[in-house]
Amino acid sequence: MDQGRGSWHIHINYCRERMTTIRNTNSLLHNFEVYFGEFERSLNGESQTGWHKIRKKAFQKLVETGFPDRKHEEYRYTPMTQRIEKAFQVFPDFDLQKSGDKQPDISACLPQGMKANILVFVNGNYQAHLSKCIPEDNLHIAELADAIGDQEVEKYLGESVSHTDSFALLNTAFSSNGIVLKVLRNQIIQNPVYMIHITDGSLNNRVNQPRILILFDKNSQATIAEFFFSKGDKTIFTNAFTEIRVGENATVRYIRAGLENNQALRVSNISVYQEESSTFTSVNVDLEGKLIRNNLNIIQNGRGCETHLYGFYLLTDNMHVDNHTVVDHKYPDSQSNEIYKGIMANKSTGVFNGKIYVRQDAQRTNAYQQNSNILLSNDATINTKPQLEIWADDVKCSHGCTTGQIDQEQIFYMRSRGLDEVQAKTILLHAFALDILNHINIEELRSMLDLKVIEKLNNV
Amino acid sequence: MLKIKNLRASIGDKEILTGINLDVNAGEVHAIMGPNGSGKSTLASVLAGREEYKVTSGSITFLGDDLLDLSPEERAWKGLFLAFQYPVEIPGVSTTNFLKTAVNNVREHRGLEKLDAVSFLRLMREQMKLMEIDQSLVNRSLNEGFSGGEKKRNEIFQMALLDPKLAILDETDSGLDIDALKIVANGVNHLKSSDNAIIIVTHYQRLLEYIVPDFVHVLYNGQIVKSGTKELAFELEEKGYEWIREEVAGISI
Ligand SMILES: Nc1ncnc2c1ncn2[C@@H]1O[C@H](COP(=O)(O)OP(=O)(O)O)[C@@H](O)[C@H]1O
Ligand SMILES: [Mg+2]
Repeated sequence: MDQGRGSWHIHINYCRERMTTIRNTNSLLHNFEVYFGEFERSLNGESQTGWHKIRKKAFQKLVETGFPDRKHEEYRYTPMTQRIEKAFQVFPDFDLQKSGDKQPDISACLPQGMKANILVFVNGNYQAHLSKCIPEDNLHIAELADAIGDQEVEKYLGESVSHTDSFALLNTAFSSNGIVLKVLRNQIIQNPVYMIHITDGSLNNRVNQPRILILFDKNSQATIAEFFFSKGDKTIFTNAFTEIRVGENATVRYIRAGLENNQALRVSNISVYQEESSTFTSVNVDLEGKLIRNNLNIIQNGRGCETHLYGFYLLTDNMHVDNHTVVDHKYPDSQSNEIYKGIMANKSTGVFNGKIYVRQDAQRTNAYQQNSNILLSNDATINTKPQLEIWADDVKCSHGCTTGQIDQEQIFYMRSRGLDEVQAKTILLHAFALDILNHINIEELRSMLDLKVIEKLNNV
Repeated sequence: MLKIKNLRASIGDKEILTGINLDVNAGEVHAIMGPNGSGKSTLASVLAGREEYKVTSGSITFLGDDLLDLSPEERAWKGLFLAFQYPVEIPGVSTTNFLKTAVNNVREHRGLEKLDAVSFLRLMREQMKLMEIDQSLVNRSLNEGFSGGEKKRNEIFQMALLDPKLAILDETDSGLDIDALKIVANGVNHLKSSDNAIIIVTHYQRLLEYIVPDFVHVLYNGQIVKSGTKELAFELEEKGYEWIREEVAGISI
């Protein structure tokens, strides 16, 4: 890959972090205040429960911090607040959130012959009647409302009020029809758990706030996938929050992909807490949507943790995808390995911000981070910023980012053997993508994404 | 088959080829020799259609067409093949898939039926035997991590698969030990026929012991300054290029 040749828009190492607390009185917040009132009324007698106290606390904190505006350091390249405001000048009626298509056709989201535990969410709400689990896998799923008496669940929900991201707070404030998935001690779930999020964007603009809590007990193992789809072409706003607690010596693989319509706005907060000797691997793929922001936060809460983060984004038209990742090494003898790769065409914009913290006690940490980008047009932009902060002294850390165009030497080689320019370009870009897609261990989902990638590459 | 007339080419503002004339007919083997930097690879690149090189004057006809009008892939479809001096590594691209696409593209443009997976693999296996290419090599990404010798053999293997009309081998002999050299030479000799032609670019005479040229040309400072038969190669081997330098200097005085 050429290193930043020509007049491409490359911004590496943008400004240093600043603490910003912005009292924001924008109309979006006002809209949500009205909306929250309606939501409370719809809860009837439930509004005095412990859960609702958590929601109120989260909402209160959101009112204090406001939504991030352009001056907010963490959102300076991603005008999420402004876009939501623009798209939802008239907020959808709250009741409509529960109506709409309750029996959407999920066949397009479900690869044929795929053997998996299927959990379906429609417009952010879990649909038990559409979900289907494999009995031998003995999955323990509870709807949030039923799990709330569980001390562990209530504790984690309560802790999420301290999240600093406004959208995470918003999700907690409106949390309702989410689920809790528990993987028991020593339990190994053989088949993947495939969560399908489908949003009906055919009638009115949608706001969806799926909430998922996954608790892995000691020595447990599973592969979880969360895929986001939509039907219809109206603007949808998805504000997802998934929390994963990875117990001691547990092994978790987590695949996440966005395939919504080209008007979709989405914020994903994924918070992962790893205990001693656990392994967490994630693959995040974004191929569709209009404005996407992923906050993937990993906290290593014990020694000997292993974290692998892979990401791929293929952006066309005016798409904008922003990946913010944090790996917080707090204990000794851990490692993290992060590779994010992106292809940007047309007027699309990519943002990558990868924070790695190595705390004072985290001796012998081994951390690696790489962000590689290919820009296919003069109007495409990537803002990339690796950010390593190291307090321990005995560590191995490296990071790098490359931004370039397609390698013309490689193109010429292939053309001289009879491949046309488009074939040669597609093969190279596809290889670039496969480097990440090959980490998806569910073959049907990998090939579903792969086909989509090929289809898109044939049109860039 | 190939007619190069008074070809001048440059890169940036630097003129590298300063008037090349060369005729190659079907059934012939030509060797182009010359010291480093004389323009041999540049000539090969211009023939293959590398866009960085600007042709400033002259003409090239290949099988009746103006070669300079064709894109690199059109040249390949018409039967031109360049074995690169430094084949580029292409990580992540499967050698087998790449070759299948290449072979089928070329076949399609020659009016032949495309090969299905089974017949392609059969063809590939035949040619692998000829070039003594191991299965593990084609299972890897294209040229990635190949040794120098493996890269060169892989080039000739591709030549065998694509069955070109005109093959240009740019320093295919350099970096090969004697056994690999013999394999390459055997392969090339096997492919040689009365309706194709080969241009061997080299600055050693070594390969020419195995692939006997009909003509030997000396390229110096972007021009063919001397042409002869295979004896010229022996003379160069014996006397070195100093002799040519002196001769050229003598002419210009
Ligand atoms: N891309 C390039 N940019 C600048 N100069 C080049 C480039 N390629 C070749 N040259 C120059 O052109 C001359 C001929 O090079 P080349 O054709 O590679 O010679 P040969 O193959 O005979 O050794 C050399 O002086 C070389 O430095
Ligand atoms: Mg050369």
